[in-house]
Amino acid sequence: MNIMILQRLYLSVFSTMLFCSAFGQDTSIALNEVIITDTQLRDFTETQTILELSDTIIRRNGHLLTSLLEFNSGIYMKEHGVGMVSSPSFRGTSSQQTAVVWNGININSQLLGQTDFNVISTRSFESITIKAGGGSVLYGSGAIGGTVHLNNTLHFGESFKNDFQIYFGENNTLSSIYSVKAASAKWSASAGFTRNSSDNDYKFIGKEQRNTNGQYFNNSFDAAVGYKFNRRNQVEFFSQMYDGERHFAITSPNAIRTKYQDFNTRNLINWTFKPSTKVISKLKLAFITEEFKYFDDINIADHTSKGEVQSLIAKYDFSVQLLAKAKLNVLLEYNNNAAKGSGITQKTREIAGASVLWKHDLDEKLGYEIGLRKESASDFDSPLLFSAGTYYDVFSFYRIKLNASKNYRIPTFNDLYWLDAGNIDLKPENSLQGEFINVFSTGALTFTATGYITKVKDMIRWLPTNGAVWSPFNTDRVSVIGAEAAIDYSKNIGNHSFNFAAGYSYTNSKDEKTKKQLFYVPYHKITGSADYSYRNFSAYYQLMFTGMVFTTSDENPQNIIADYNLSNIGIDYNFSQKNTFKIGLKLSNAWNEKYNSLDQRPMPGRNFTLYLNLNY
Amino acid sequence: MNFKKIYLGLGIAALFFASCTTEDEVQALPSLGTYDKGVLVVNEGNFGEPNGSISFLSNDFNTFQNDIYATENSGEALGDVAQSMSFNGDKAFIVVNNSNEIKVVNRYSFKKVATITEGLNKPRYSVSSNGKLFVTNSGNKSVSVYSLDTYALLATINIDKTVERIVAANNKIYVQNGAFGTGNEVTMISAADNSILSTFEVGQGVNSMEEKNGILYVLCGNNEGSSLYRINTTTDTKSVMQTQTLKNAKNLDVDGDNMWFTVGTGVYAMPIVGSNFNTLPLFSVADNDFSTFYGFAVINGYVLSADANGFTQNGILKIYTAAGLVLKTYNTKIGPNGFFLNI
Repeated sequence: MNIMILQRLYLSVFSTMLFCSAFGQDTSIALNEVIITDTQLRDFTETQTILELSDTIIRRNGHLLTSLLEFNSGIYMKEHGVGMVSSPSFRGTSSQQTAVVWNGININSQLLGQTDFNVISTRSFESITIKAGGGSVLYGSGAIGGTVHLNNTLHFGESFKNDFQIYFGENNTLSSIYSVKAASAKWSASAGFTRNSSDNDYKFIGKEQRNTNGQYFNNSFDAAVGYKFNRRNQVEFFSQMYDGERHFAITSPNAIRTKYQDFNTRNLINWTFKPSTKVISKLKLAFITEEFKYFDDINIADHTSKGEVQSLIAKYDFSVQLLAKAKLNVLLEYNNNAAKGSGITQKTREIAGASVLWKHDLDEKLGYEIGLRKESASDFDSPLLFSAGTYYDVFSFYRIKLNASKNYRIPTFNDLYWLDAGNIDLKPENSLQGEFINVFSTGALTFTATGYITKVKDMIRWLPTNGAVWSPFNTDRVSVIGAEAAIDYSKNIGNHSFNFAAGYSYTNSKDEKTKKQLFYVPYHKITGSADYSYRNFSAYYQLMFTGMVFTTSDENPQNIIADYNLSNIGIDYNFSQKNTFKIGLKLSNAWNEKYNSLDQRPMPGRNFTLYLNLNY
Repeated sequence: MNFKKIYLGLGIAALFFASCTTEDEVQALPSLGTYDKGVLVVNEGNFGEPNGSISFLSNDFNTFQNDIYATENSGEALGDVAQSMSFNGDKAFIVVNNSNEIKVVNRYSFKKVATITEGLNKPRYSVSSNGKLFVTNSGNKSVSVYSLDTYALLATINIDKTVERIVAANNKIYVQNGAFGTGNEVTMISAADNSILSTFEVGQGVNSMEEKNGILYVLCGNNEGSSLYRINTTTDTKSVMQTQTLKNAKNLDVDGDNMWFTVGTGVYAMPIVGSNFNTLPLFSVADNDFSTFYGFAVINGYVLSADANGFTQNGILKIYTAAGLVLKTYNTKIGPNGFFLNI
């Protein structure tokens, strides 16, 4: 029974990976060259919307992915209290329909089908990119609502840098990062260690109680190495280890206290071979592990359930420049996932896939992209996936983009094989979508307006059966109609710089049978930020408005969570002219808004964070 | 989608229902309080959320009221996964599984009298006997024993097997050692000295039991078939009848001289003295999100069904005649799982 509970702790359950590959990388060796391994994110997404969050933004937001994304994107987060289980709804889809991609590799859990956004420590990454809309042709299962990309970069060119960041918050909240980067023209290496921890016993606004049993810590170690053998050959290696423990905050005072441990490792090696200026051949090998342990009573030393998956991913990526402005990219992939755990006896799944991608810039103004992917999996039938898009510059300042795609979310190990409950007959969830994007840009101002439609069918849902157990079924269909608007404006006047950014999303996500809005999907969400800097001083204001959500599937007005409006204010000053010696202060929830994103899970009121950033 | 359902929603899986132990005719006595003479409905709520609640259905089935615990106790939340209820004298004991509490209320006014917390470890069911309250705890597989005068913990009986429903008869306590489709034993405990007396082997998938006139009726169901055991609580002997036709029978409820149960969406009845399963349903109900008969009881020949409605929205209470005609339909709160006759 505990196992069933655990399982439900996360949304139902799921997934595999496929991923990306790389196009491009045709820059020749140069000083200060920057390399990312997920080159398709750069080269094959021209007809969709990409939002890159810089490391300045990453530093100014919370240390877990939830808080970063909720203030800086249209993604809605359901969080069981600060640091607790957190899952996204991107463009009105389920938490298993957002893929998280680490250096090009889909890392959603093979057991649960989703990534817990509070198990990703943001400050380990130089850049975090959000891609809205379907991406299964590039990134595989779960890329329906959108994808979140965690990227490490390799810098070539003589340099040696140390980076140290430390953040002190209330309730004994500490986030600290140390990393070192060293590079020459041939070598590049970096290593970093991140630790986040918190007692997390914040006081509930207007109540005597505090958050109880919510303490957590996590450690991450990251490393990257690149070496250029010669003009034609280079090798890159990326590695991450994450080790964390969270107690789960209780909602009634005498409840048995529980905790949860995650241990994840990710390793990727990539060999790039360029036989000519027009051909790039890449061979990638990735080994990913995930492991959890659940303790349903913290007073008992031993865990009550555990699960682990080892995934080996091999990928061959071949791209060739065929016409002056056309590229063909062929990807061959093999995935082997081996899972075992309390609810699953040893199971192995194999998926082989092939993709063909084609990108063609017809002239300066018009181009298109097409992608197809087909897989063969050992335990379910996989649909033919596609994506197709085009862009056209109507005027120099106005571009339109059209994109359509078919995407999917495969059944997880839990869905298929859970003891006495799994359903081996499950099909993948699949989704068809289309979007229309308008981009207006001048030098200082960018405005984007997007409309989209997403249909999802065969949604996998765990239901109580008339037998005795809960089992997953392909049941619901969902229809989402949405609109997004985003604006970004920058201005420099002398030593004064201003930046203003805001986004609005409207999400109408209906169960096709009942015609009701999905619960825990807000119709409205707004984010905004205003930055001002003068010489070494900067100040910023962040805003997030989340509209009302229903908590039950019947649009019952008695079962709602009211909208909330949060603001953060921060200032910092850099004492060094050449490097970074920055001290800052951030006030979160500045107006002490009383809010919760899940029922009965109060969130903190006004609180301070003091921080120091050094880079030498 | 359906986040809540799966995420928070579920919980304590599986089904069971309720035990409506009284089959006496409802008598025209003066009312002892607002909630006298009616049926109390336990709504377990979503796992992980303190939204369990109690609803009240009048004896004539004409009035129905949700959230009576909160109403009578200044809006206080009942807790996380209200699992079951039992009575003793003028008290009702509401077992709140994931809150790890038992709320003691006056069964007629529903005002809170006490909260039991000591010695509980994910409590499931309770029963009173010999001045004591016996509670099954799924967390540590025990039965904890409390004084009905002080609610103090008197003893903890380690069973070391699944513990679920619990019934008192003849100064003995019978503990069902099975839940969620597995388990095939019933443990017998002395109500006087809390000692384990013996264990009865029953069919695999033991899921519900009820006592009447000294006989304990125990229903077991699995994918191969179903069986009904009768344990004579005086002689401590058992007998069995079996069927291969009906798989996974559950929701045993004794009403008058009949015992009722369900198989899938079908409602079945047979005499308690019968020697064979009646394999023809009296009627079947429409399936709804796989959670029909999350709660089930029969009162004076009327069938009460609680549909948990997938746990994503309020449940549905339907009252049927024995012929399957729907008399009344009410919206409950989240996850109705059982009916308890309060007279």
